[in-house]
Amino acid sequence: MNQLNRFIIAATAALAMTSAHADKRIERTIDCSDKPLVHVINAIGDIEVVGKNTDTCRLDAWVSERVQRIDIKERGDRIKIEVIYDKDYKRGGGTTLELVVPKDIDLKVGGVSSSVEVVDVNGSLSLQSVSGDVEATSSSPKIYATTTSGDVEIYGEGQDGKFQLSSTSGSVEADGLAGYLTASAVSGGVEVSDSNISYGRFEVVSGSIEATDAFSPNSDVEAEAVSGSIEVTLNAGFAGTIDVTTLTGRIKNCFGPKPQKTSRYGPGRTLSFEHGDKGDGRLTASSINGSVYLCLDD
Amino acid sequence: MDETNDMMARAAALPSEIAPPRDLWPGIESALETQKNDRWQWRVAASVIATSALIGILLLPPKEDKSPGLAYIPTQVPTLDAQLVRHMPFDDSYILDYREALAALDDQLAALPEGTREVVVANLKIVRASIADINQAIDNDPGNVQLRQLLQLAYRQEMAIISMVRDSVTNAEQIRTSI
Repeated sequence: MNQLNRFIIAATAALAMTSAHADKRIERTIDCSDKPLVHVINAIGDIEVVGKNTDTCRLDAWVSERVQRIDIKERGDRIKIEVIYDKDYKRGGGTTLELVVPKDIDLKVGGVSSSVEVVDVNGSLSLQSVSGDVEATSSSPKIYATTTSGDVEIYGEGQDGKFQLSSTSGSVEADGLAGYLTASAVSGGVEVSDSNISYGRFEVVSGSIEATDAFSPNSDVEAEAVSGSIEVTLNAGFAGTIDVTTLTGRIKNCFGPKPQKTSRYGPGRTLSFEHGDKGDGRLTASSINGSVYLCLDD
Repeated sequence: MDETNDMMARAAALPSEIAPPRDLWPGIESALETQKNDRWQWRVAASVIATSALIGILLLPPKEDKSPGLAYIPTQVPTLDAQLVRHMPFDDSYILDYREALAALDDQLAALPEGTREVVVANLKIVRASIADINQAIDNDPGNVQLRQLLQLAYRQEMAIISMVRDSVTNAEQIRTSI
């Protein structure tokens, strides 16, 4: 081993020791039995919340030296857990929060440079970050999840509900949901699978939309892209109207009629037809410069 | 947030189908006939204009980039001018709100992580390029309802991007108040 390698190993060990000393562990147990809502705020650092069969909330926090304190306040029907940083917080590290809560509680989480992960919390979820991923595995009937530069991944258990998911520069993935779903992204993709969506609205700019095994038979689906592609596989029992439009993209339909040009004198293709036995279903898919692929589930 | 919701609601309330005010085809057909006859004159005029524009561009001094990453919006993405909205029946108050939202966008973009800011700017340019493409297509086919629906989609997506940026910055500010 040469001298340089020895120096690198020694420096890494010193850094690790410094880091270990910088983080302080804080544990708290809070009675959550009569508080249906827990609100967690941590500007910097990961937040993990796990639902269990319990009446108490247990907080485990690894705080950096830039943290002044962790406030735990009871306000009305909620408990608010908030990490308070020094003004020069940017020079220090963040705080990792691990929280165990009653599994049917409503949960609101806010972070900035934070990844948010929620497991088995089944009340309504409102999960927000700016730089970081937001992920939930839950049977909650109401989920709002948004981040700016990160991915949103929601894994349900087939529950019917209302779900609103968005990311700016990341992707959005939804699996195992039913009912009402809106999902939007700018540069990332929107992917919906193994679901039973009755009303779906999906929007992307340069990302793509892919929805397979995602819809109920009479689903009402709107999919819009600017330069991204749209790939929709409808339920085999779909009955209703289908309208697809694109300016410069292709339209490929694996059932029903072929697309038509919208004009003899310029770009544009359209595909409009009724499928099935006069149902209430509706699919509207439009991509300005991307292609649209349409099919039915097997 | 209320302002954003209000604008989005008004954008959504724009007519989803726009029928041509009258049968435009006879007029277009006769215009095309006239254009055929005048085509050589237009070609000469176009080449003179193109040559003048090229000379003008070559003689202009290069612009300085004042604020990296941010000044790009007003300089590289065209602002909402009359050319861009010529086929979309926005009312005056909507255009005013829209311009205000665009004016605030630079400061809001500054608060985003650099990578995200670049993504947002790139996607705004994609939307604006699409708006220009659709406007051109509508120029050639003024009665095409599908094209007008696509134009509406493009404006909706542009407003969605602007709203995402604004909401993201607002959320971050609210959380940072604890610092």
